[in-house]
Amino acid sequence: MNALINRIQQFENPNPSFRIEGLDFTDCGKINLGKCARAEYSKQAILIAAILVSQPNKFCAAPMNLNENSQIEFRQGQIPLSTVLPRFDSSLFYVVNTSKTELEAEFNSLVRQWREETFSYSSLTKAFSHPAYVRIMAMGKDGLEYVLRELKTSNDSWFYALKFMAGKDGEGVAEGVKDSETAKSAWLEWGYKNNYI
Amino acid sequence: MRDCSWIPSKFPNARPDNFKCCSDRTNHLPHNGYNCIAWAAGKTDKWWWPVDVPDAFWPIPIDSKDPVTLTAFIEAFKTEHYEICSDAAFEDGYEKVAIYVDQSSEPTHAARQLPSGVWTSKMGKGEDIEHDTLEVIENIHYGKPKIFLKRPNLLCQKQNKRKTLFSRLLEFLRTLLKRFSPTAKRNQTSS
Repeated sequence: MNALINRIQQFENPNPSFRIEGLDFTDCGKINLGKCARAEYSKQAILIAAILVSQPNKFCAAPMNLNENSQIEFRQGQIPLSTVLPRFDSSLFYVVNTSKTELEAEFNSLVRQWREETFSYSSLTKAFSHPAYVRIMAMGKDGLEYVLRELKTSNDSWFYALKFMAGKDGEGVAEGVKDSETAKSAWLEWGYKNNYI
Repeated sequence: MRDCSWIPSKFPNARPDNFKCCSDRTNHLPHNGYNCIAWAAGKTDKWWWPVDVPDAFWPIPIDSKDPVTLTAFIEAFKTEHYEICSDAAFEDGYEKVAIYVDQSSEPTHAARQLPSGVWTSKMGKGEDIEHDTLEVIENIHYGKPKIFLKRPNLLCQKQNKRKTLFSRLLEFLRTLLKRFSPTAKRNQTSS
């Protein structure tokens, strides 16, 4: 798994045209995300996510469950922070093709890393764009049960990741809620109803 | 828990003789308690940051396109009666705040000056510390202090007011004492 991630991270500064694990981002030079990032999937994987980083702290991602030969398309509606990216200047691709136990072990290790490395941060923007947090978000729905478990037991800020990972299914959960305890209850209830807990 | 031994490993200018640990860490509290921005503004009940999540608070509407800017932070501190000033030099009767920015000019941290002239900072989810200078906590993540703001130190002004009243009262009592003391009476009779 780590070898795969390392190999994938070699593409953090991609040239305009490249191919990786069956993903073709040839047309990803400029940014109308609805059109630019299209990937043909040719290998079996549980989940695939691509994070396009245009500026520090402003990224978009599109986690999705794929079947063989399915096609994924990045759409503006899937971008949580910035709807318009000025240019496609770096990227991080994260492919999860692993068992549940491995995923959980990796999640726990990422949480430890994130806590340790962002302990002195006041900036939630920096905390949310930390590579470990981004990788957790890239786990998409497969990682939801672990994030909800963390939400239940820790005081860390998981609402940003949850909103992103749950995607359309989580639309409206804790919408407009300014109180963290109420938001926590709403997300845990949603997780329970949707069999993530 | 209070243990600031981690600070020098993250902040190369920090040494045991230029900062001191002043509170317990807050990572056991809901939403990790409060952060440096809240602490600089004199608050300890919320985590101040311009991002739309339920465990963060921002005193003014958040610009969804470009939320983390110096302007946003200056406006936020203005709600607490701070105004921009030129530098970090100590001014009697004023409380100053320094906003740190990283290399991309994005705000990262804020420190508040105490009446003694030293600075106080809340270190993320960690402890509050007092540091002799602003440079003590410069690092790659916090960056450097960029903007300074000040507001009248209300506590200081109240104390000064109380001091003035007290000294006036003392002066009045002294005058009375002089006028009615036996020595004063004797002087009056002899003349």
